[in-house]
Order: sequence, then C-alpha cells, then structure tokens
Amino acid sequence: MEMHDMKKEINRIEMPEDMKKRILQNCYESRRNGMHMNKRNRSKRVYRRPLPTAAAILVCLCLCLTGITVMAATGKMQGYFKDVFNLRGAVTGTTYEQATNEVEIRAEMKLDNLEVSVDFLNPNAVPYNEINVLSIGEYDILDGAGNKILEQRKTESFEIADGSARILISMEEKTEIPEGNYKIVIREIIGSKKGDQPLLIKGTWEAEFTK
Amino acid sequence: MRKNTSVRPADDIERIMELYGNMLFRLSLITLGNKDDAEDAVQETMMKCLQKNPVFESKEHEKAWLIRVCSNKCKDILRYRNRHQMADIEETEGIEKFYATESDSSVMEALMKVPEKFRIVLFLYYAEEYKIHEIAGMIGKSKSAVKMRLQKGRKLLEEIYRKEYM
Repeated sequence: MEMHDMKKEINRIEMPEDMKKRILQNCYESRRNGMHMNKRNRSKRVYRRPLPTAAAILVCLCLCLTGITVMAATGKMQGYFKDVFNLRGAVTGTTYEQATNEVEIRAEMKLDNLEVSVDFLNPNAVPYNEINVLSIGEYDILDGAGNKILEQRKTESFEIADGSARILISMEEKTEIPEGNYKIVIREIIGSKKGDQPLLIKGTWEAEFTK
Repeated sequence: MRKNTSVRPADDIERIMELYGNMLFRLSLITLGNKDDAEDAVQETMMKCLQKNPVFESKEHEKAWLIRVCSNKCKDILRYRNRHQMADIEETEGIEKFYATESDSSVMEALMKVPEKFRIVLFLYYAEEYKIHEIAGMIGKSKSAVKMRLQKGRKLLEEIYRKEYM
C-alpha cells in the first residue's frame, strides 16, 4: 500500500456544487437576519435601552434586599465559619459568626451571682455539638437608663449539658450597684473542647434581669 | 490574531469557499464519515469565519485557521453524537459515495476504519502535506503527540489494509 494512493484517493473527494451553494446561501441568510452576533453588537443591544435595564436591575436588587431582611427577621439567617488571618496572611484560627439566632440567653440574679443560661437552639448542629465547655467572652451590663455599669472580657468556663450551660458571673465586688432592672449584652461566647483551640462564637444577645 | 470590526464582504466568503471548501469538506468527511455531518461542520466553519471576521497574515495562516476551526467543529459533532445516540431514519450518504470511482478504493476504506484521532493526523500529513509542527499547532497537541499519532495511525492503517484487502 502506498501513501501516495491515499493522497490521490482523498484528493478525488470534492464538495458537491449544490452543497456549496446551500452553505453560502445559509451564510448570507444568517447575515441578513443578524444572526452573526459579535460582542460589540450584543453589548450595544443591551445598553440601547438603558431605562428597562436599570429598572430590571433595581427590581433584582429590591428582591435581594427584601429577601435578606425577611431572612434576618424570621431568624433564618444562619451562622458561618470565618478564618482568622495574621498580618502575613496565614490562617491562625476560626470564628463562628452571626450566631444570634442560634443561641438563646436568659439571666437571673441569684444572691451575689448573676446566672446566665445559654441554650443552643440546635445542640446537634455544628459547632454546638463539638464543644464541651462554655464561657462568655465580651459582655456589658447596662442599667435601666442604658449606662454601662460593668464591662468585662471573659468569665470562667462551665460545662455544657443537654445543649445548655449555666454561667455564673460574680457580682460580689459590685455591691454598690443599687437595686433595679438591668440588662446584660453579650457579644461573644467561647466554646472549648478538650485538646482543641477555643471557638469564638459571635453574635449579639441581650437578657434582662432584676437585682 | 487581530479581529476586523467591519463585516466580511460577501465575495470574500465565496472566495474562501472556492479556495478551501473542498479541503474542509474532505477533512470533515474523513473525520465524521458521513456527508450530512460534514456539511454541517463546513457550514459552521464558514459561519464562524463570518462572525469573527479575523484578519489573516497570509494565505497559509488563513488555511490553518480554517482547518483548526473545522476540526474543532468536527470534534463537537462527534462529542454530540457520542452523547446522543440516534437511530437513522433513512440511510445517510457515507464517504463511500465520494471515492467509489473506477479506481481501487480499498485505501480509503481502510483509512475510514482507523480511529478518528489518527485519521485527522494522517489526512493533514499525507493529503495536505503539512509538517508535524504545523499539525501540532492546528489540533492543539504537542509535536511528540502528533508524531506518535502518525506512527500509530500508519501502523493501524497498514494492519487493517493487510488483513482485509490483501
């Protein structure tokens, strides 16, 4: 077998004239109908009608914003994990953000201690099923007029049982605080597990109590 | 490659069809094995040329661009065919009609039994007389891959020919 034969055979193949005409006809037709879209024409077509385009974008934005507001109002906004970076850009830890709707807080004054009950609404979900002990991170105590009477950083750690923990904040040193209605505002709770890095759970929780 | 923003004139498409229509048809027919799909591949190549309206540096550049687009279109058609198994309603005209002449057509029959990826390399090397590095550029493979395909394609073609036509 000679490769020369193959070339001869292949070169014998010719496109039928009617096919040529058909292809050219289709090309002309598509050009006449403006089907040969190139990017310039396409982009022109969009901005030729600026008002409907702007209206459509506005409607989309409104729908998105309404959706987010409704989600936040109905408590459907879920928490999420976020990496913590150092100055060199390396990941040094993780926090759990936006957990307001996933944790319930109650506060009650018991003798010289303020007992804060922290209940996880879904104790079997991550990260709540992975922590054994809990403490309160950053918190303030406000009086009835909204004045800050106590600002603290961290409480002791207490064990979690059945998805809730009772945390005691000693008020012994604050005996000068008069009786009345107060409010505790918590911005962080810290969950820990043996042999693991503490997890900062962020949100905003408020609970009222009476002294 | 630059892109011309003006519309390609109608007579330019006719010129391209006159110059390269047969070659593109051969390439498509050898790759796809039937006339209808080959027509689709050539038409889509021409449409692409019309849409993109590229500026070519030379005739060779123009031909290489068309071959590359056409072989990509053929690959698209083959991919579509593999994913959408279809039963033929009527018999389509195969490649046999185009080479069934008075001469011995066994070489072409043997070539059509070689897998598609070798067929296209054999076509470009032996029928269009392109160099290995040019074929590599056209089908988007390395030179060594083209050499291997050429070698293996030749071997397969010879085996098929010896087994079935000698």
